[in-house]
Amino acid sequence: MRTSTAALLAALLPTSALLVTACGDDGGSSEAASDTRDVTLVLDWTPNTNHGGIYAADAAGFYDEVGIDLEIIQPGQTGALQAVATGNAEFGISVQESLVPAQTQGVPVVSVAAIVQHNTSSLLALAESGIDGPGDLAGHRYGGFGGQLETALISKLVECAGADPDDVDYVEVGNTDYRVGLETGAFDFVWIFDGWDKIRLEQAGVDVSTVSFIDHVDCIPDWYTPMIVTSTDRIDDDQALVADFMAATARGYQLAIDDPTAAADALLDAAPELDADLVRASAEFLAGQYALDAPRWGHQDADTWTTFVDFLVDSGLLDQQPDDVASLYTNEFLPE
Amino acid sequence: MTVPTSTRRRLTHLTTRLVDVAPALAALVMLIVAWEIWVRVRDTADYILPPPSQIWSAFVANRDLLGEHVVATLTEAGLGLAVGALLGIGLAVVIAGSQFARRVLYPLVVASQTIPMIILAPLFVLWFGFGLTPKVLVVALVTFFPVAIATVGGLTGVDPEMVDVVRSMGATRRDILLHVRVPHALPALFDGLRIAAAYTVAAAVIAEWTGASKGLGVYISRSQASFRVDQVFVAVVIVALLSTALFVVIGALARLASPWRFPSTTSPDPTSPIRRTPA
Repeated sequence: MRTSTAALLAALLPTSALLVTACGDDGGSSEAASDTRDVTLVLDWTPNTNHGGIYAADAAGFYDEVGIDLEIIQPGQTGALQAVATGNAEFGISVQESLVPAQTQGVPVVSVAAIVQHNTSSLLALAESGIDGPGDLAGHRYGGFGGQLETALISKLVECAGADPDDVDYVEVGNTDYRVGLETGAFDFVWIFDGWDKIRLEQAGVDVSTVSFIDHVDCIPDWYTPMIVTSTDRIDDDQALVADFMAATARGYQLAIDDPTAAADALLDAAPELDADLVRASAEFLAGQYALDAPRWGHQDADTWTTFVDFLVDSGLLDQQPDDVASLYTNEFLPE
Repeated sequence: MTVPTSTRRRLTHLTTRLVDVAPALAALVMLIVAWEIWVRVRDTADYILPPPSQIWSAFVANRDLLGEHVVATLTEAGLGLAVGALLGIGLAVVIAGSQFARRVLYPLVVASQTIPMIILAPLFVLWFGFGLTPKVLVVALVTFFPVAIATVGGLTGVDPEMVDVVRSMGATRRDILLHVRVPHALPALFDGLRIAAAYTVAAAVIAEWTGASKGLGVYISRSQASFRVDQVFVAVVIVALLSTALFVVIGALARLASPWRFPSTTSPDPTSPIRRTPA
């Protein structure tokens, strides 16, 4: 599960903002009341354990109970934000680094839950590379997507460790398998998610070393990735739908926290193409992460939001500062 | 022993077809065997290049699941090809019908092919949602072009003398289109369709990458996310087989639509003046 290209998304977003007004009526209906409501959720990537609570809720019938018939769409280049903004989907999975620039450019999206409380990203290298800490990244080559956020974070990490950020080489690798790139020496370190890519290498018995973002929050911000988003229009028009959806989803994540095996099985049922061993180990890992240190699953903290937005502004990644960070998210739809 | 002529003909026909495809089959088998040996001898990792035997196991393990993905992709491909073909034929008739239309439309038709589908497809999703429509449109846009170009060639390539002759017999423009140009254009149209058919399934897979819940494209990206290169190859083989099947079906339709173009090799018409050998 590599990072999505925030830069690409940001580049595409002005287009979608224009389209919002042009075609906002297609897609699922959100007719109120007694009938079952068709709801479309667009993922951020292929189905994976980040979505564990949603698949668990679907399999356990939590959506049925609140009268929601959920269709889950696997996205491509079109991110969930555009789909949600244009009304082609009611809900989507996105990340903080995509939502912030989107909203500042007028895309009417808002985060209604943080799926995982802390950033579980790491920079990963083969153990033999000699990379043991952020300072060692200098003099090595990073294989990534060429996103500005990647460069900004890595530079900051290297700088905090007292090394020269200019000594890091960057190469764009697209969708190439990072394991192949590392093992053939095409690059020395990559951005991975602990709950998926790292487990995969561990299961394969590859010796790796990692620089985990969460261990360096004195230097770089912690932030929410991934999160559940909807449009401000949806909240204005059909608050009950958002509340019902989030109630069922929160129950699903609680189930995934209490019973990772059930969540893994639900995901594997819906996407049997996935590697079962990887999914089970990943579900186990994320069960301890979803609501870690939080008062309840999904909670979004004002500090985390502000710190991350400030980092984006300081690094020059935002053309426009958001008027009000509090308008980017809400905890209102999380069940007590 | 007497075998009915028709059966004998059919058998001869079948044998001819087998002989026709034998070289390709033999090459394929050799390639697969060489691949298997190469991967085993070099001990190549599964996530780089799995051996054919492992791809087969992946197919067997996933065969129930693949059914629904194949149905989804084939639906998009079939509808897209139908829409694309109709669009292509319609455009061809208009373009071949008037110099003015030709000057206006022809450059636009060509220009439409210069926009990479990877840019258009995500926009279709924004405009038309995640249903069947954007996928059918992607396939139609990929397939209308060869059909249109080939059909224009067929419609305009009629011998002008033949048109003159028919016109001198009192035929209207419509008569000439229906009785001279269209029959003459049919073979070209089917050539265009066959080229289009070869791209159709792959176009549907690409369309699915812009947002779907079923289809071979979904299967491929999920397999990639799980680092299952063997499953990716399963999908690749299925796409190739489906494309070939579509190609063959269009070929059979071409035979039905213009039988004069495909004289039977097994039963030469003894009365044909062309085939009569001089005594």
